[in-house]
Amino acid sequence: MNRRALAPEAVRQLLRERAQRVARKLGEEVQVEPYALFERAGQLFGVPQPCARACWSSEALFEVPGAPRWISGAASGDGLLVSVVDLAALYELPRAGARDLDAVLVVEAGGRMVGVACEAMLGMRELEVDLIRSSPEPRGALLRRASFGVQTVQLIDVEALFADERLNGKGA
Amino acid sequence: MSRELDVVIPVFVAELSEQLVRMSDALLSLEGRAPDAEAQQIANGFMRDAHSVKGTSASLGFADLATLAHAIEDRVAPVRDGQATLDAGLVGTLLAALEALRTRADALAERGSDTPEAAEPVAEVTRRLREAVTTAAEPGSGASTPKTEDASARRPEPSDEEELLRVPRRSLSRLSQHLDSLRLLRGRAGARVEGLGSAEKEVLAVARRLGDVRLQRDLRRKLGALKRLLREDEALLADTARELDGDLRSIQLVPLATLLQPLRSGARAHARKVGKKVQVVIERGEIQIDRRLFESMRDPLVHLLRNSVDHGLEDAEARAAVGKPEEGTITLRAELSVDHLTLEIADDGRGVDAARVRAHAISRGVLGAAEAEALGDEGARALIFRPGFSTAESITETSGRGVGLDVVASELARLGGRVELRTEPGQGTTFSLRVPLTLASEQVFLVEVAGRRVAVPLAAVERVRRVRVEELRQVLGDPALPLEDTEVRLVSLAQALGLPTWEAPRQTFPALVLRAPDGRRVAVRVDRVVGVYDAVTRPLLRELSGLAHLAGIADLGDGQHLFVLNDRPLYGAPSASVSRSASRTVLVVDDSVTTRALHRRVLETAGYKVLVAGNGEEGLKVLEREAVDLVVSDLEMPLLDGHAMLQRLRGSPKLARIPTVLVSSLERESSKASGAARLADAYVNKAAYERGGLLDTVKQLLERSAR
Repeated sequence: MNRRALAPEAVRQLLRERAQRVARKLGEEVQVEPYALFERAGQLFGVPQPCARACWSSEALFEVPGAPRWISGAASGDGLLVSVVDLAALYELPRAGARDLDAVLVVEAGGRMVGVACEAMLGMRELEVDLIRSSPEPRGALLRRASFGVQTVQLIDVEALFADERLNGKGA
Repeated sequence: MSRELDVVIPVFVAELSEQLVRMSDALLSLEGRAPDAEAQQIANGFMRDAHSVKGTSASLGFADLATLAHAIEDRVAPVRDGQATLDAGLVGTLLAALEALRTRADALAERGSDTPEAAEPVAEVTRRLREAVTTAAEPGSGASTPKTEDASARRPEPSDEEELLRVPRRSLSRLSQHLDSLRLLRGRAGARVEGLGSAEKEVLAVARRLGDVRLQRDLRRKLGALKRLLREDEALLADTARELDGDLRSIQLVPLATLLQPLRSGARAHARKVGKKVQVVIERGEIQIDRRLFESMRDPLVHLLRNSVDHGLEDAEARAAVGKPEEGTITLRAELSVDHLTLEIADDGRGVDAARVRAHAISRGVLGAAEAEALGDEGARALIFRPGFSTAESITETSGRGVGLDVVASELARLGGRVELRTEPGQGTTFSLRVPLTLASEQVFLVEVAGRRVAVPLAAVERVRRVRVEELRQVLGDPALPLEDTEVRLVSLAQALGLPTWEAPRQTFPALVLRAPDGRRVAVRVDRVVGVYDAVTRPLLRELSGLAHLAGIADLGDGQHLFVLNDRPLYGAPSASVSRSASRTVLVVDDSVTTRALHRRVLETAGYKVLVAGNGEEGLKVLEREAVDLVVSDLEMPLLDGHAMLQRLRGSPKLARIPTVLVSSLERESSKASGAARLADAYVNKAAYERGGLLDTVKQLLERSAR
């Protein structure tokens, strides 16, 4: 997590605003969307549940000789074979807190599949629709983010990820 | 088994399957039939196939198969000569003999080697066939029906295992899904064994803390037994998944010749219907492709074949008027690369006349006169792929309705492929269909470099050499490996793949000499040669398609995936200095696809460029249009045999000096062979065929002709 030091009063103000935002009357229905959440380079990412096809252990991963750094390798499982993308390298995210890869999340859209390298797979979680916002600093497929407890989740637009020209044979 | 046989046996099996189908049909047509001209013609076709089986088996070293084929020939020869008919009993014995050939070929294909057990049924049926001959030889029977006393010789009923079933494609897809589920279960079982191991440690730790030795022992025994059982289940699941995977692959990968056979029959039937004579030749039919891929190409292929019959080939009269044989030839040719299948439909017809296409396009209002004139010839010919375009003079059932080639083009585009047209007025037209492969079997050469395994397409590997550092030379600053009369640039595979390039100083190291189709060569340094493997290769994943040094991904069937080297960038710019052997062209003329494949393999491995033809007629056509340095030919072939071809070759001022090698299963001194052998520069008996012998003969003749 990338945190800045804030004055105590500023922190209280933020918490107050957040409490007002998330507060709801007892019994009030909350609209939620399921996301597959995972960690990479110390950050939390989410993939919409319909796009999360499978999760494999990192043992499924194998090296692609001479691949660019945003390709972690390729992986096979369940009769499928996919390239595995490292979002941290693809979007040049801060790598503080990066650990060994633990899993590969296979994401799918429009019949195309790609693996995403994960350090830890948190599983399916429901995110409140009201807490999903446009990202102030959108990068590639990271167009929106959501609050999840005290953490922020970067939401992945899988179609935008697939449209990245580096994942279409250019710039490798 | 030698490398040649590794490659040729699948071809032999595919060809034999075709021959056996034809032979069985012929036997059933001949059963009980009185001698007449048609029966003799059918028997003649049967004899040609039997003779081809005999020759090919002998040249591959399967003497017992050659003996059986010879015994079969002996029984049918009197029918061909109009001296006998075949009764049901003898037909049964002959069918049993064909079945024995098929079973043996299947065993060879499956195991890749010969075993005494597999040879036993062949010996048994050969004995029965010979005994049937003895029993049937009734003095004074003349043209009477030969009899057999072989009571077991009924027409073989297919056993349960051999029965063929038509299976809907969706059932295969479902099987694939079940296989995926099975793999998942196996993975889960593995994870549960691990989980149980952790739980066992914890439980035993608790028991130790309790100090109860008996409890510890009981728990260790019970948990250990449970773990063993779970491991056995996991292994069983893994084995079942592996076997199912192999079976599914074998169902889905089929020799192209088998798939093309019905199309060939269809084209011939269509030709008969429209009053044309056509022979359809299949080249490289041994290639195995995914049945689903072929199914998706079937309609375009059928259409192009019919198009060739209807519009490509002239009628017999028009062909005779321009000096062509009355029978037209359509060649179905396949080429397999790591990521694409190319199928060509080539006819020797009138070609596509650009002026005629242009005029027709204007008359149909496809485009205006000025626009049509502005098109070059190539552009004009491309108009035939436009919707609604047809140049047919008369409308036939399947063509000439303005529907067709545009559909072919769009269908290929849908498959991610394309169709191309090559044509020469008066000489013929070739449609080339190129589609990406979803799944194809291929042999790959595995090597190790920088601690990784990499697959190299076997087709690119000319030879493997152990290189001594002191034999290397420097050419334009690069290390080069001397090879015969040339030097070949040496590159490090680690560097080519972008892997860590530190290489331990070694006095010797292995290197692969790779050869491009145009003859360019490069030597590639590796750390270790692992061997040749069968692999299912797939195109490179889209995200990796920018990696020029990789061509695809090979699945070795044991869960291992390896990347396949793209050798093309390694050759560098085309160079004028190619070895002398690479610049020599040898034409192989043989009606057996197996023998053609065997010769091609042997000669290409030695660096020769090889062209092939299926009979003398085709051979002469190749000789007319290509610069050929030497001809290797079979003797007995349909249409125009080796003897007649050599006579025409020797009578042509342009071709008379080309050296020729005859390869035949007939003895050189036999009446049939001796005349042809006198016209040839060398004679090789198939039964005594040796790779080195043929190469030496070819080399000597080429050296002699160069002097």
